[in-house]
Amino acid sequence: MIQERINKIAKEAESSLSSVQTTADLELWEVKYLGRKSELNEILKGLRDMTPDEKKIIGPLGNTTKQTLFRIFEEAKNTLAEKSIDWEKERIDVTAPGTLHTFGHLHPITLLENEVQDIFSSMGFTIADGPELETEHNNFDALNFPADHPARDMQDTFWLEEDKKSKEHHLLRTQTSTVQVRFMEANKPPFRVIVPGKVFRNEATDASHEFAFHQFECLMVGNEGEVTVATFKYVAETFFSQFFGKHVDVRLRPSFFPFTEPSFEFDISCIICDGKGCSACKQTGWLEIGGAGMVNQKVFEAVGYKRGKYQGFAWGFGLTRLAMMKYKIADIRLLMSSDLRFIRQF
Amino acid sequence: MYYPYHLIKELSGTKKTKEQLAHLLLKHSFEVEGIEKFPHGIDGVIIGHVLSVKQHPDADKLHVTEIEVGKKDVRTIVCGAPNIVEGQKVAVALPGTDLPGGVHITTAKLRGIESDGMVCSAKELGLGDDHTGILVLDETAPVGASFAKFIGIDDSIIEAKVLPDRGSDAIAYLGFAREISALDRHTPHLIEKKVKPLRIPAYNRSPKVVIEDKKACLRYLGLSFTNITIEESPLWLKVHLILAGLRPINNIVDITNYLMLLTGQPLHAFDTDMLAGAITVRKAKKNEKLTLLSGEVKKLSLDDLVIADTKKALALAGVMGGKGSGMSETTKNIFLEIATFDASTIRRTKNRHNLSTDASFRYERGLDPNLPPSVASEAVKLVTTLAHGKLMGMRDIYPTVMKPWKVLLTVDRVEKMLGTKVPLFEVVQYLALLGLTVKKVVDQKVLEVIVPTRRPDLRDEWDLIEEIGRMRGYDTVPATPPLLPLTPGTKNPAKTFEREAKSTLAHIGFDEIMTYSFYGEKEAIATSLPIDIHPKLANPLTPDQKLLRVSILPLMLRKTKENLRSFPSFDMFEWGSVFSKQVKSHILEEKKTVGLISVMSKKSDDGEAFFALKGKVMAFLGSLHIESDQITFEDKKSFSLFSLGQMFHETRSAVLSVAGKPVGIIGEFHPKTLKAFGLENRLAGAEFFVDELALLQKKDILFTPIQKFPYAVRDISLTCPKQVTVSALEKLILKAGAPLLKHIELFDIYKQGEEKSFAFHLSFGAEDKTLSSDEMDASFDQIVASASKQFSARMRL
Repeated sequence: MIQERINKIAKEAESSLSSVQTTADLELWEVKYLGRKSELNEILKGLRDMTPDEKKIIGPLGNTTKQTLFRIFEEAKNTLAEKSIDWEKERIDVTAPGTLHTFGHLHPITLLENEVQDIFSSMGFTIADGPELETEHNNFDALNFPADHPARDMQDTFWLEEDKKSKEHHLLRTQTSTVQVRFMEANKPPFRVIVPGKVFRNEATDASHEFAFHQFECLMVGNEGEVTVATFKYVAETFFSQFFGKHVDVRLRPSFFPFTEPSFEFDISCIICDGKGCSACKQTGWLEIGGAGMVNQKVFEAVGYKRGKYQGFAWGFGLTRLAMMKYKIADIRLLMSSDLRFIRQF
Repeated sequence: MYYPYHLIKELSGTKKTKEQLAHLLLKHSFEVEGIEKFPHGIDGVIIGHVLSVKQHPDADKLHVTEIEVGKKDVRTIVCGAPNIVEGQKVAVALPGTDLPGGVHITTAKLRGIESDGMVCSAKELGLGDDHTGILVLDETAPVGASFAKFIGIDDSIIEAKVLPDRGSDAIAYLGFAREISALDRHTPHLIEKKVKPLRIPAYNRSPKVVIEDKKACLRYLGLSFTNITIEESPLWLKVHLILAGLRPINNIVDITNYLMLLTGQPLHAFDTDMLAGAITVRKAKKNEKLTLLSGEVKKLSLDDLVIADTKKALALAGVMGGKGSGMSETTKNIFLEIATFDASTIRRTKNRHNLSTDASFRYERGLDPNLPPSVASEAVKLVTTLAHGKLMGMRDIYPTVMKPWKVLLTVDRVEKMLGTKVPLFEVVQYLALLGLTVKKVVDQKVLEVIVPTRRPDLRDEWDLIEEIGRMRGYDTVPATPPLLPLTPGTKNPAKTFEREAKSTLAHIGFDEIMTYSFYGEKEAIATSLPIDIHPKLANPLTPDQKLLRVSILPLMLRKTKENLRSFPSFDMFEWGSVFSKQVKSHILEEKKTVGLISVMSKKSDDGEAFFALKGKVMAFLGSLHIESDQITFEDKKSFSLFSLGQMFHETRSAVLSVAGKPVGIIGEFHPKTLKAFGLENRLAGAEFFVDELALLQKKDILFTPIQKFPYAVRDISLTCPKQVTVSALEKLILKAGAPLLKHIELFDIYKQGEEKSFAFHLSFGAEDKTLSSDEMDASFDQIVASASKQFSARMRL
């Protein structure tokens, strides 16, 4: 019976392969069992003379056997090839350093700005941008800082030398709130917008003061009654809880900014001690973060909105301060130092 | 502002400790920045009773006294003061005490007699200039008690941040006390004293007052006194001034300062005998000059308000008195000014002459014109009792009486603003506590509120809502999510580009730095940037920060030098605004740029630094899908007006241009730039205008089918005159080889005398078939012919 012959060949081939030790022996084995003149090949060649019933059985069996033999041949070949390698000669010191490939580092302020943007974007806020070189109008007048008012002393300003002919006074913006004016002049409520940016204060530097630093402005305006002090508390709490990855409480204290009414200073529960009191929060349980308030109706009027129609909050906080808190940077001047020993840690 | 705790406690009637007050104020009114014990330095001084005074046996001017300083504690003290007498109560510094002047008291022998302490003079206690004798205390002073406690100088000072909106009321001790009283839920009448109308003699002998500028002077009240005695103030008055950080001078000056602290109202005393005729409040005249109390001569502006007599300006109104018309040691008759000036006028004068005084600080915040009568009443009381003066008359010119105003408050708005319900009775209660009168309630909906003139910050209903909110406490407002449509934020393409670009640069290996936005002339000169295109700061912190940067590179170069101390090679970038001023029109401009600097560890002898940076720049542009084929690298000489070019190397830099417009520059730096920053030739830099780059970013990326038939690659090597550039040759080859030539790549270039050889891989192919070698040959020959014709190039075999 042909079937039996095929099975016998298979058995014989498998057992003889197990005794093959050298590449030469394996080549002989290959000729004998898989070669053109091998017994199995001869049988398969004879297929065309067989009856259809025989073909149905012998054909598949023959082919499967051939595949099996080919597979075990390949395995044996790989095993032999592997055996011939001198692994010790190949050995490398895997503890030696990898080929140098450097990545650059983004500035911590940029990293933080991205993080803050992502949280606000997820709450539907748009990101706006504005110039650093501003007019007195946008930085002060339109924000309800009256001319000749001591409120202007709250922010030491860098003024530009003006040409005698120029009507407008220019300055380096002291706050990102200037973009409030620009944005509102171009858009109608409702809107939610955030403005990251660099601001300038004309004051000497020390470990906690810098004359150029980064701020974040957040402005949300709707119809009267839609965006309230309670909304502000919610947005602020949500933002900080997301940012610090744990629940954070917000505390509002009365304050004064010409462009908001009511105005607040806002503190967050200390992220280090969770409000129990520690050295970071000077035992108060709270960290001072920034100023906020409900947009003054006079600012709305200055950008052409009808008094009393809209209502919303504005708040600003220092990205620089947030970076110092997050990364525990003790000296603010490092942020503008451009020292790569500092930058490369982020 | 600084407030002495005990006086505030007395004025407000509060029973709270200073810590409780701090907490209450923080929550409802002002930030308390500190509570510090007043450093009077006389802790060891106690009250003693002089039991006996005997002449010192060996010294004419010394006395030997027995002083009781406690129960059964009598000390022998040697004292040189001529005014010591038996029965006096005195201040005794016991051994071990350090006095304010730095004197350390010990037990010491004075001419053979041991003295167990010292009896102090006012000067030794830091309480005045009197050193002629010891300070004699009131006979009720308790023996053995702390002297500091007895005179009230043992106090704590509350430092509170009173912001400009409350400058007109809460800077005054009384206003601050009134606020505390309201927080204590005490109605205001408990602390308001009724002012008795002044009794003015019928003959009213006071200089006449004329207000010429009624806009700048709202009210002028003057009091005339005769026969005053100028002397040191009583201890209680001195202590009030010392606690406020002011130096006691004499009774009249001290009274004016004390009343200013208490009420917020500045007062100024003129010597009546120095005045010529009526007092006029007017604007300064052209070229008018005034010698101030400080001796400084000021040339006045037409906008300055002055107090003048018929001859000349006497004082800069609301800012500082003048020399000559003020008080002196011999003054007998005074004219006391209690006036209200326009806040803006005073602020302008203060700023113009750079004169910040206690008076200008209060006036520029806006004072209540209804305040002077009550201050006058106090002043009369104090001047007549402490300086023994006689009131001769008063003038009170008040052209337009300011009346309390009405604000309508829609009750609904309180809840709409705060986001939490506040019952009507609470609203009314808070307003009443603050001294506002709710006159009418219309339909339970609108309140008619009358605001007293001392609160100019309360002008509209939102101002009132803030008062209600803070009185109630913002902790009563719950955090509540808004009920609003769920709308996504709109994308900001510029910010998206910035973020992508920055992170791409970081991936390529650039570290991000941030530098200041201004530098000095030194940096401008070092980078050959014309000074006159820089916008200038009018008030820089230092002269070397006067110019706004027109390029981001000068400060980056400085930072390069600094970082070379720690790293031999690095790449860094900065993204930020640069500024410029048009020289003729003075128009100011701001643009965002990105600056790159790449430092190699070896010298760039053959432009290696340039090519290293160029490679990174091309990777950067490619990764952002910026259509770099629209950008050409051109000789900077064709852009002579492009001011950034001058800091770069003459022949190793290129302006990147799009359709003839520069969008940036790249290159090695000019040797003189490197020298100015102390750098060597192993770095290259670039600066690009990012908005222009962003415009070139591909908006949509469309898929191009992958080539079905393989390209055939052939190499070509061409030798040309050395002037031929890679880009010119590439352009020519691509044109000549079209349409079959799909792609070329330069793989070798070398100079040989006056010639250069270029070697390219050329990839030929077609979309629909595999090319035959005949087709390729034809295209190849076309390229060779074209190159030879245009650039006299020949094939190198």
